[in-house]
Amino acid sequence: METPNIAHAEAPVDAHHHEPHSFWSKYVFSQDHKVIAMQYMITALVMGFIGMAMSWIFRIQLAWPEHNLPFLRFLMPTNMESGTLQTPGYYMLVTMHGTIMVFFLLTAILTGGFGNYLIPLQVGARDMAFPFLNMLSYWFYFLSCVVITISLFVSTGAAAAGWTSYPPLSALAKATPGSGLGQDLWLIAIALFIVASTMGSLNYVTTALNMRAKGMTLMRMPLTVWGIIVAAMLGLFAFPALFAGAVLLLLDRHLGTSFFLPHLVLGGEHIVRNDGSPLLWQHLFWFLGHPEVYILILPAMGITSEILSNGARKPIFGYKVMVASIIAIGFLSFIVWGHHMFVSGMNPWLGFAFVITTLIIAVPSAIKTFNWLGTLWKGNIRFTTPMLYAIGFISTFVTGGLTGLFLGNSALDIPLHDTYFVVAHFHVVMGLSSVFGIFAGIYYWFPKMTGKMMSERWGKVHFWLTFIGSYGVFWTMHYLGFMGMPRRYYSYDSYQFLPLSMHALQIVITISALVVGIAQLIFVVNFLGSWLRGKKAPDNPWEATTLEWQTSTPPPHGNWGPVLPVVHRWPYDYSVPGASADFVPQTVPVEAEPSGEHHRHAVAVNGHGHTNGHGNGHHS
Amino acid sequence: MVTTVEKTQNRRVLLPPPPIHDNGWWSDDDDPQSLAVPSWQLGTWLGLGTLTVLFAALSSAYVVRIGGERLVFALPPTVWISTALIVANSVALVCAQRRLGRKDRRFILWLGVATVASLGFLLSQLLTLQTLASQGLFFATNAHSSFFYVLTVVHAAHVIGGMAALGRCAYHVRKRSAWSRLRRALGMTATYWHFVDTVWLWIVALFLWTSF
Repeated sequence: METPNIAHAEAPVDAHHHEPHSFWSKYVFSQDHKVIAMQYMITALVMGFIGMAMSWIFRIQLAWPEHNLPFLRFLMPTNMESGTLQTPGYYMLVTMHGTIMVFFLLTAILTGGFGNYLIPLQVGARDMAFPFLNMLSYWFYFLSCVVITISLFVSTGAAAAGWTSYPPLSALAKATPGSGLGQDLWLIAIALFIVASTMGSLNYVTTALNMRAKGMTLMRMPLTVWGIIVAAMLGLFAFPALFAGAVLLLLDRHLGTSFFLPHLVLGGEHIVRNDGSPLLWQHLFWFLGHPEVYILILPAMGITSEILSNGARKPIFGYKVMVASIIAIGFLSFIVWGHHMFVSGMNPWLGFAFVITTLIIAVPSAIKTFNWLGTLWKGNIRFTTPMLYAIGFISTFVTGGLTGLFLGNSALDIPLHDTYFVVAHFHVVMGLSSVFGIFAGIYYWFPKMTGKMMSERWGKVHFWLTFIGSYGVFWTMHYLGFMGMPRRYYSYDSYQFLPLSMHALQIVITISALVVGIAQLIFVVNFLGSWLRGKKAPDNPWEATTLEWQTSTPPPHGNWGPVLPVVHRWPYDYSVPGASADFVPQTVPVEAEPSGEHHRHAVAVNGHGHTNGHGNGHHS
Repeated sequence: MVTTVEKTQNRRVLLPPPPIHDNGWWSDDDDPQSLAVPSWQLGTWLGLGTLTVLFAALSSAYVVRIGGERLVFALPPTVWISTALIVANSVALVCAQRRLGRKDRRFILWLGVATVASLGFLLSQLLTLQTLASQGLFFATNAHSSFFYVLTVVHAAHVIGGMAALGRCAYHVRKRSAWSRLRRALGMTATYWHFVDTVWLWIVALFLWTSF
C-alpha cells in the first residue's frame, strides 16, 4: 500500500523563511495546524460553557418547578419575565443545550481541536495536507457558532424543536415561538457547521494517510490518529445526509414544498400540503445522527488508549484488534440508525434487522473494553490527572454501553423510549465518555500545546468532583426512566402516575449538576492559571513514546525543525524487556533499543522465550 | 539514546541532494510514507465521496417520498440536449488531458470546448425548468417537481463549481505555470467534472425509472 519512496525524506526546509510574522497571519488567519487546533479548542470550550450554563437553568426549573429566580432575568430577558422560566424558554434551552453540546462542543473539539493538533504531530508531518482549507474550516465553524449564538437573541427565541428538530414542529413557523426565525438560523448554522466539518475531515484523513514520516506505516500510527481519522470518515460520509435534510426543511419552511409536511391542521387552520413524510426527516437526520455519536466516541477512545498505555507503562493490549475494532465500529455505525425510530412506525422485520446490527456493535466495543482492562492489568500505573480521566472514560463507557444493550433491543426500547432512561443512557455513553476523553486529552497534551504544566492537585479535584457529580446526575436518571418519567416535559406536577419521591430525585440530579458545573469552573481557573503562571513543561513530561513528545515544547512552526523524524517502531514500546528506560520513543532505531512491536524482537533481546509463542508479544 | 535528528543527519551526507521544487516547503517530498496516490488526488476523491452521499441522500429521499408513484410529467426534450452537452464536456476534458500529457498546446482548444459545453448545459437546464414552469409545474406543485427542481438546482450549483475549476486551469495557462502544476490542476478539474457529469446521468436515469 505504501510507496517506499524514501530518497527525499529529509528535503531541507527553511522553516523560518515561511513562518508568518504579522499578528493576523500568525494568530487569526493562521494556516498552522497547531494554531487552528487551539482556535477550535477554545471556541468549542466557550460554546460548551454556554451549553452547560443552559442545562443549569432548566435543571433548576425541573427541581424547583416555576420557582422564582430573579437573578436569571439578566441572562434570559425574553423568557424569564417574572424571574420564572417560561415554557418556550425551557424548550429553547433544552434544544440549544443538545445542539451546542453535540456539534459545537464535542464534534468541534474532538476532530477540529485534537484532530488538528495531533494528526500532523503524531504522524510526523509538518502540517496538514491542505493548510488553507484547514483555516477555512475553522472560520466556517466560527461563523456557524456566531449564527447559532445570534439565534438566542432573536425576538421569537432560538430553535425549540429538540436537537433532532423533527418536523412538523420544526417546519411550521407558527407551531411554537422557537419554530420561527430561530429554527431558520439553526438550520443555517448546522449547514455551515457541516461545510466546516467536511473541509476539516478531508484534511485529517488525507494527512494521516499521505503525509506520514518515513517508517510511520499505517500499523504504527497511534490509536488516537486511527480514532480521529475513522471519525473524520464518518463525518465525510454521514453529514451530507443531514445537509440534504436541512436544505429540504428550509424549502418546506419557505417555498411551500412538502418534503416532510403532510396535510395538517394547526390551531384550527388547514395547512394544505401534499403528502409529505415527517418520517423521511427522521431517516435523513439519524443517518447522520447515529454515526455522529461515533464521531464523538472514536476520537475519545483513541485518546483513552493512548493515555492508558502511557499511564500503565504497558503497551496497549491487542493493538491490531483495537484498530480493527475502530474500523468495525465505524462501518457498523452506518447501518444502525433505525434503532432511534423503533416507535416511529416501521416494519417489525426492519426493526429486527436494526436490532441485530445494533447489538453487533457491542462486540467490537466489548473487545476494546477488555483490551483497555488488559492494558491496565498488572501495570505500573501512574495515577496522573489524564490517567484518572482515561480510567473514568472506561467506567462511563461501560455503564452507558450496558444500558445501550437495553435500548438497542426494540422490545425493551418501546417502553423505555422517550423516558429519562434514554436521556441517562446517551449522556453517559456519548456525552460523559467523550467529555472524559476530552479532559484526559487536555490534561495530557496541555504541556505540549502551551509549554506549561497544569496543576495536578486541582486537576484531581476537578476529576473527582466531575466523576462523582456526573454519576449523581445520570445514575439517578435511570431510576426516573424506569418509573416511566417522560423526557422533554416542562413540569411533572400534574402526572399522577409519578410518585412524589420523584421530586426528591430531581433535586438530587440538579444539585449534582450544579456541583459538576462548579467543578468546571475549577478547570477553567486551572487552565488559564497554568497557561499564565504554570510550571514550565519539559519536552516529554509523561515519558511518552509518540512523535509529538520528541520535538520541542511547544513545537515550532513546521513542527520538527530542519529534519523530519524517522520512525523505527510502533507507538507502544513501554516497559520493553531489556530496554534502558521503561519507554522507547518511536524515533529510536531498533538496533539501539529492543522493541516489543513484534514478538520475536522482544524474545531475541530477552534471550529467553518466556512468552509462549502465540500471544501478541506484549510484555509487562 | 540515539535521536532522529542525529540519525537522519548522518544519512543526509550519504544521499544525493534532493531535487528543487516549485512549491517550497509544502513539497510532496515531505510525505515519504504515503499511499500511491498524491494528496491532492486523495483529497479530491474524499470530497467526491461526500458529494456522492449528498446526491444519494437526495435521490433516496425522492424514492422514499413518492412511494412507487409514477412520474406525473414528461421530461422536457431539452433534458436530452443537456445530457449530450455534459457527455461532450467529459469527452473534451479527456481530450484536453491527453493533449496536455503529450505537451501539445492544443489542449487549450479542448478546454475551450469543455467550457462552452458546460455553459450550454446550464442554458439548456434553464430552458428545461422554464418548460416545466410553463406547464404549471413549480417548485411546490408536487413531490416529483419538487425533487426535480432540487436535484437539478443542487447539481447546477456543482456545475458552477466545475466552471470555477476550469477558470483555475485557464489562470494557470495564462500565468504560464509549470507543466506539472497545470497537469495537476487539469487532473483535479477533470476528475471533478466526470463526477458531476455522472451525477447528471444518474439524475436522468432516476427520473426515467420513475417514468415507467
